Amino acid sequence: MRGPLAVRGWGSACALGADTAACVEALRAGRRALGLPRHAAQLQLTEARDALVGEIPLAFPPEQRPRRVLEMVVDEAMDHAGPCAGRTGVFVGTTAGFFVDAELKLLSARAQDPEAWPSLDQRGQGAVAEHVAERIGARGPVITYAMACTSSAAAVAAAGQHLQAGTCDRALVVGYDMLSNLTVRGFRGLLLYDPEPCRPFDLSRRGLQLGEGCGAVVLERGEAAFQLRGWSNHLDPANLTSSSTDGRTAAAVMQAALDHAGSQPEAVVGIKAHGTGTVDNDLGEGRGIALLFGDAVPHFASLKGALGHTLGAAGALELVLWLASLKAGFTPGSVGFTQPDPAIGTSPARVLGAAQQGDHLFGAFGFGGSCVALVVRHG
Amino acid sequence: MGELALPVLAWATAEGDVSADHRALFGRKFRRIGRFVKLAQVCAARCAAQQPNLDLSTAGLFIGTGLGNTADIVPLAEGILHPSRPRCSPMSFAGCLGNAASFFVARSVGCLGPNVTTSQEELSFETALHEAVLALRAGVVDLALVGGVDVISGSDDEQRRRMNAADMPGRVTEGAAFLLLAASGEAPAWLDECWLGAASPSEVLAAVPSGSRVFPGWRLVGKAVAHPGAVEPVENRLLPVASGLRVVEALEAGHPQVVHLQRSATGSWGRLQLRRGARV
Repeated sequence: MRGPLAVRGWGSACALGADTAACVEALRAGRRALGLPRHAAQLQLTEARDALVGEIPLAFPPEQRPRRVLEMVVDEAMDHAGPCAGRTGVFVGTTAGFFVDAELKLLSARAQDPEAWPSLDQRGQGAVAEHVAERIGARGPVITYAMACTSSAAAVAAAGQHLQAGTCDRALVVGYDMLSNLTVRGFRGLLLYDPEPCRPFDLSRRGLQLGEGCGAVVLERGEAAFQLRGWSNHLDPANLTSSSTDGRTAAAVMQAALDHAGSQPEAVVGIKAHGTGTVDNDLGEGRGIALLFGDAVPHFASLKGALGHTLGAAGALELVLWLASLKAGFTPGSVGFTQPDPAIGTSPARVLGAAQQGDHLFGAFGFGGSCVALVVRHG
Repeated sequence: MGELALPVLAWATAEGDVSADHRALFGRKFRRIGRFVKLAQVCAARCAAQQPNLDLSTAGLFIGTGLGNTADIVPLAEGILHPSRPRCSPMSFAGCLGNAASFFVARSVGCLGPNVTTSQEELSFETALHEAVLALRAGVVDLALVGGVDVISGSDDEQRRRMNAADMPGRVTEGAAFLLLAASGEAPAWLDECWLGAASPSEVLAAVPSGSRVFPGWRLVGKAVAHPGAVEPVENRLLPVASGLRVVEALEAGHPQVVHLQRSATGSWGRLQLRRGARV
């Protein structure tokens, strides 16, 4: 059943806004939405409260917030896509699932009784997908991809494979991660958390900021203005928490996705880079772009300077934001970038670009050596 | 996906403390890793060792886990949330990644193709197997090492709560299981079906071939939904990826045609059909 895969609908929420329209207008304005936490009640620890984060501007009651955000985004995507008579599969990418529930529960018990020491009620990551499947009445496969920062990019690729194999007629892909003390503290411990707003691909970059976010994409077999054309999944076995920096791995994973799409570098008109703002990621990815495209690097940008790194949500969320921006008539710029890094050899776009028809490339590089690239054709 | 006839070249399990085996296999090459990764590495190495002449360098690696590295995640998070002396070791944080086992298994057995980690509660092993089947059928890989791994954190009661299995009969345990699948060739066993989806029990059972021996998943043991008259009496192990252990058990039982059924707490099903013997 190899053939075009249509993007039928999408939904999103992140620091830039509570729905896709708000996020796109913030991207058009070049807004940076990183600040101290106000709504994420689980971030009660001093170190987490002192960190700049990208927080979804929704103030639901703390215990309801993780699911309400997810439901809003899923509903937006399903409404956008319209009805489907066939079997729907659910493909979720997340690093922490509803882990925030466990943090909230423990912190709440301790607020009642400072001596309380209940066990941490950690659940599996699959709970998010089950919640989504129940909400939409899914009859197809329900699968969660737990692949660090590439999780939901991998879910998009897997959904494409499922549609082509005929295991479902519609695929709802969701990327989801909420802020937690565990991740903020963990990235600080790894010395990857920049105290200043992050600057992907910039000479002065020192690390990332975390954001919370959710993005949902609806895919079906068929034609549409945006088509998922290709994907690739590679392993970089060099290091658990750091990318290879010579650019060869990044170039190889992007080339493989183009091969799968039946495309070539000359057909690429835009690149949504992973661009975390860490020294090694941006060096490896930027050099990969320079290797693959030589002197003809198309418009490329990282969105993380605007909304933070949403970890497992990033792949699907940033795909939605990029495609919705194209539909709105522009290509996002790279917020936070000012000074080129000669070691990288190429630079992202500082400002918005035109919405060009052609192939757009999406990179995702994560801990655990996970590397995923996607190709979406706009035209 | 019925009538796959995918060759199953090898299988293995690992349960309990595998530290000694890990030392024997890898010496001090992998330091500062916990039980979760060790179980996966030892089990994958046992499976791969049964086909020593195969080149796994381009093989895909597909691992399912219900709770991930909960043995390290829980103490790490509790340490971070400690009211008076919060602590966080960077290496412990890195080891808690969902795909840490996939990364270390890939390095230890030299399986450097596409690398996928899935997590879907009771159906975690099934989802990993499903992804491997799609990759084999699409020609993305010629070989796929497929596994499941889960460990325990805290008491039996805590673990049962994490698994939403407070009232389930059975023994709480930790373990891993791996299969080595190929896209083509001869093999001692065959995977004929790997199906995931939502359906009524009668719809799920209607597709079970007559004469099959049914090996129920841990959420189905003792329930009346299994195929009448052909249910294998099994010891119930409570761990999210117990399906992997059950599949290996079914293969080793030597029945010519076995079916493994599992259901999630929310109504999704997995149905696997396996066969011993020559290609049909």
